Amino acid sequence: MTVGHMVTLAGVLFTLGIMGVISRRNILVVLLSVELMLNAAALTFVAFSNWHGNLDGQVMVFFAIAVAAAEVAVGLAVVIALFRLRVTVDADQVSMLKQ
Amino acid sequence: MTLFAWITLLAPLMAAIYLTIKPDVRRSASAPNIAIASVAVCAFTSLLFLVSGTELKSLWTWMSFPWDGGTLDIEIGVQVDNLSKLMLIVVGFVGTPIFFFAKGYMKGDPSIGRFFAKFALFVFSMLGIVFATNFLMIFIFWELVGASSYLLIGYYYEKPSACEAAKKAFLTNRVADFGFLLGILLIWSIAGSFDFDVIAQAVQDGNLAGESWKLSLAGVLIFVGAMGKSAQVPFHVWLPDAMEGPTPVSALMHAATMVAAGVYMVIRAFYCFGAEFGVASDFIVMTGAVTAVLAATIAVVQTDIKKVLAYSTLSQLGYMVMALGAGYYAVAMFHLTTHAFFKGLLFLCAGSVIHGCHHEQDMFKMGGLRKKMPTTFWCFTIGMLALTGIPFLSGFFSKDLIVDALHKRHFGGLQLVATATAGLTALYMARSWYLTFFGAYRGHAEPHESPKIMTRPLQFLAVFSAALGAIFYFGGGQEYLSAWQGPGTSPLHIDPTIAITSTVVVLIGYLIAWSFYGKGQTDKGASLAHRFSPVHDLLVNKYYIDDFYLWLVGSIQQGFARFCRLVEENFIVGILVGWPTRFTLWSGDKLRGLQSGRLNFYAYCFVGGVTLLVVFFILAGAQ
Repeated sequence: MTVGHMVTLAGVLFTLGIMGVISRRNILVVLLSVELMLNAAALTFVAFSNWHGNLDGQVMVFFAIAVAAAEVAVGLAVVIALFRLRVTVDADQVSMLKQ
Repeated sequence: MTLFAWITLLAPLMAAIYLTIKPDVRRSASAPNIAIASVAVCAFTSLLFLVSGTELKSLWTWMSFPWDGGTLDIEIGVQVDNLSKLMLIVVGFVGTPIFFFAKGYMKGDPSIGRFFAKFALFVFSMLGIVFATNFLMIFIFWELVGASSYLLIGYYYEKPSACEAAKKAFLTNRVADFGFLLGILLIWSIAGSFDFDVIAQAVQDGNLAGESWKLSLAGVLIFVGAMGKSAQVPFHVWLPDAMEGPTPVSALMHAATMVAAGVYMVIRAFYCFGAEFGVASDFIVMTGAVTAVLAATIAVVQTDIKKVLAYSTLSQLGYMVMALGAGYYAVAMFHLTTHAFFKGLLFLCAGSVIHGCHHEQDMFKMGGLRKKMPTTFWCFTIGMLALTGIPFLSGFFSKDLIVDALHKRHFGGLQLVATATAGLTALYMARSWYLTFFGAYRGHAEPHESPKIMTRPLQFLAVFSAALGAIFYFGGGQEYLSAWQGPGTSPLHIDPTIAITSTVVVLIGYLIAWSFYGKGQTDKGASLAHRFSPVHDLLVNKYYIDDFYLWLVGSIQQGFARFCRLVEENFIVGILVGWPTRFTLWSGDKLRGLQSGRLNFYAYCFVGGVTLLVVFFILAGAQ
């Protein structure tokens, strides 16, 4: 398994994540897609770290995982607050941002 | 002695501040006494300086700026020399009786404390001019005098005419002061100093020989400043209107001291310029002559007792300015001194009459007051005789010396003008004398003699008005001021020909006044006015100068202002500001549709933007 395979896989995952963010209506799925994109990026870090024989990239992955955990905590909290307010998790039903 | 000088300068300021910040004192009956005490200090020290022959100069650096390698020092100082000693005597010995008079005149006024605070502030400003050691200091106090004049003319601020007069005085003076400021800056640019002594020394040493035209120009500009304060044509319009202020104010500021400050300042300044100042003297003499005649002719038709005296003041200031132009500064100062006493006296008499007639100022509603107000009558008579130059009273000496000065300088025509004006002076003064004190009483309210606190100052000033001219003339007053004689002049002596001529002219003036108003009748004068109604209209309308200014401001200046507003509204607001505003509004309107609030759309835009950036950098990197 070469670095090329791994980067290709990461690219596919990232594209899937983007497609999810753009096209899905359910905010929970959107958040999942964001996680997918983060992990795709983490995968490229691991791939290049392995290729260069340098552990710095893998350190970055741990860092990214920690940040992602925090981000998810905030994101889920927002979703819960939104659900309490509107009783929906459909992004199309929620357009308060324009006000 | 230095301490005394500083105390003299600062005492009125202290009184003004004290009366301003202590409301309980301001409303109490002792408020006038505080102000009177602060002026009496001046009278006392002026006498002290005169007797002890003090000469001193004390400087205090107020501000210091780094300038051109050295420093530029703004100095406040006190200078006592023969000129300022004489002026101190004028301020002290005319000011103190007027303050006493004011105490009686303003009695019962609800804001008497405010009046005396402002009055003391004026004395402080005036003393600043008298003590000034340099041009900058004289300018600062010059403006302070203007400000306190504004405050006092507008003292009855509930009267619209008083507010208008105050504004008129201030604005007219501002125009003239602009010339003064330019003159000071010009002097500074060539001499590098503001100090009178330094400039005088530089001129004497010939350091400024190459700059003579600039020096002359500076002299003219400084004289323009004096034209404002001393109310010379064409800046004279404010002084008659300034009579809206309380009468003691008119007496002290608009007759005795403030208007004379212009003459004093010119003597101070021209002394510095020495012989360099020759070119503009014709201009100065002409200004004085025009003012003297113009004002005297207008005074003949006035009906308000204070207005007659106001125009008389203008006319007498014209005399002083003629003497300045002729280079006889000591003679100008002589007339300033005698005039301060007898004009202060006349104004106080007018104030006493107005007070006695329950604030009636129209002479045609007075008459027969000789019996009702004997003290005022006698004092007014002495003041009038002194002003018109009846032999051996003070006006006789000072005015004849001015005529003689014009004669010595070969201003033959102007000598005639000055003599004729003396006749006019007698005419209008005797007219107001007959109208006020003779015939039958034409008013309604019962007139009464003023209380002692008002008549005592009159008697005091009357003695000086009668005797001061002789004291000054025979006591060597001109020699005392010999340092301030213009180039090529020497002390003058009464010329019998001139004295007899002007006395005859004055008597003719009295005779004409007697033939028209001698029995206190008014019909003869009215029929003459009717017969020569174009001339009468011209004089009553003050030669239409005020109307001309009104037209100038109303049409020319307002027209320009309207044009400016047009430019501002259409070009600046309409285009420079309007177009960016409209573009921003329009683009905001168009872009508003993008903000849908839909999360997916935002994410889509975000991804699209990032993709475009990535493509851009890849393409840029490929090249």
